Amino acid sequence: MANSKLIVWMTWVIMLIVFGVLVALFSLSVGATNITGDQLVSFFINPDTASSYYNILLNIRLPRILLGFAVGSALSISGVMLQGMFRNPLVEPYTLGISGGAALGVCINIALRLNRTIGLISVPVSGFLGAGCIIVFVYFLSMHKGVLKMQGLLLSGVMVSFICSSLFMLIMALMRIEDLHGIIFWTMGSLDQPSWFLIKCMGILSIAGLLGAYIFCKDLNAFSLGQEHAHHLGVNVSRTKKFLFILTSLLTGCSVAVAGVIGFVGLVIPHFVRLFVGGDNRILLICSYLAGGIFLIASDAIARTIIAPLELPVGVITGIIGGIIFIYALNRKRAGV
Amino acid sequence: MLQIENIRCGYKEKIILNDLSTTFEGKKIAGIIGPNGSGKTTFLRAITKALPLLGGRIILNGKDIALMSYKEIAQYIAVANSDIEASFDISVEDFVALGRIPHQQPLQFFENDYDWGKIEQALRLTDMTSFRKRQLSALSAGERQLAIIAKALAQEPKLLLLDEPVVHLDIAHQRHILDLIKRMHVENDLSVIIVLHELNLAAEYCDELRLFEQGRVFASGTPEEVLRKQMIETIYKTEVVMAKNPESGKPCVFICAKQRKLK
Repeated sequence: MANSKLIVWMTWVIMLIVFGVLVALFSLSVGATNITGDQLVSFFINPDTASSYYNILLNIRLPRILLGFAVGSALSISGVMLQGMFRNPLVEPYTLGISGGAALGVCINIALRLNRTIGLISVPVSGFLGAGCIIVFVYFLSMHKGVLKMQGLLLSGVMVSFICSSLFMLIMALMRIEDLHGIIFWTMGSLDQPSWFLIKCMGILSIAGLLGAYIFCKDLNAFSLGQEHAHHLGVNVSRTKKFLFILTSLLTGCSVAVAGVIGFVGLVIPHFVRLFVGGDNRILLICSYLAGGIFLIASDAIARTIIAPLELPVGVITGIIGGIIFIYALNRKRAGV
Repeated sequence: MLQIENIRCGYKEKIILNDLSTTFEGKKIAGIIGPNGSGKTTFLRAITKALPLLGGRIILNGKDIALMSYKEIAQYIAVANSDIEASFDISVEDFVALGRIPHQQPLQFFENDYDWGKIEQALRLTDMTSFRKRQLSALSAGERQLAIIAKALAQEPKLLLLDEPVVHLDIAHQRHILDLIKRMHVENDLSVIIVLHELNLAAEYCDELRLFEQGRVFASGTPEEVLRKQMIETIYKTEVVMAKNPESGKPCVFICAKQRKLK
């Protein structure tokens, strides 16, 4: 009984890993300079540091793929955690305004030039603080007499998101021209991150995020029945919620800090993964993690090639795909929202 | 087994339970009855620490629940509330498996053989084995209630709390579910506290009753002791006719239409 479920789950995980490797290889080969499969294979067998491919592959495309996976997976499991806690399939870092808050934090950081005085590490920290403030704010806005009101949640999230982007524009208007270029990058989302240090941080955080979230996967399953019932199953509801809120803020804040606002990954991926593997968070978390990473690598490959040699910000691609799916899901689930 | 000492409990605007004391001893089916708003559901929430106490204390098996972890409490008490609703599609089997959570180690992510044994047993006892692959949302109200009880049984409780388990069910389902609870009580040595609105069912199935009124226990004792005409009429402010169930001899409460009397 139990084993057949495990086998099905393992199959999904293995399929996603294989698919992920294929997408990563595809993404390595396409771009302004196309690298054929043969060349890619010979590169792996005998890396020639002198060739021009070496530079493109290792210093331009590989970092993007790693960052794409780290950010996509982090946003995706943030979506799973938020959806699990709020019991609403439409919440995710972007629709709750958490991404907007993180972007605002990063923007203030740059406007005050903290990244130059304190160091690069202050960028993800300010993203985390921005995300954390918004998550707490939205949560208390939608609490009514100690009960979380779902109707208000999405609405207040969208409004908070709106306020954040207005403040964002206000800061941009007051800024010096030379800082402006660095800020615009964050509004659209791009995996073009020059700092290896931040990419490594993001990679470690994304894996740590999955492990941290996985410890609470059974609690999230219990949450799917509602907080009161989770409580009756022995879950320390307030402690779990606090931990997951911090984890989500950390993952979203840092993702925004290194790659800008990339919307809807946390919505689209869990939604689709749930269709295939079901709502059990024990498998949903892992599959969403993998699929989120793959989705962002693929979106980035599209963004780089669709109007080559020009490059679209990847946030545009995820925004268009995600927005359409959001509207579709909203219409289908209207009764539940 | 469960001593409730002078508890005060409620919500921001309103204290619901005020200075309530009662004791549940031995393996029994204890029914809680009382008018709407008399604090029956709040009482159940207080026992499971879902609602913090503002005063008094609750002793579960010699231990103050304030000092017990949620997990410890959940290993002892299972709650079968009929308002349960899963936010995502879940099969009956997976739903019942959730009942094992309080007994699993923090890093035990999958059900072990013992867990599966308990899940199978719970499905069998509630006759839900053939429904195991069905979605919870696709069940009828009666089947759903059985699934909820199966989940509570998988939790291996020593005390089972039920909040109006037969509300909205037809008499066949009412009897089926209450018989099941009675059987669990006898066979599995399970204590039960059950909130019931239907006084006749409470009289038929419960060993003892607590009659709640405005956040206090107004009367407690056997159904015969509690369900007396004068007592019911005072608490519910409704005229009733009393009789005895010809089969079981338990007290029965009837209401008569006002129009008929006026004639």
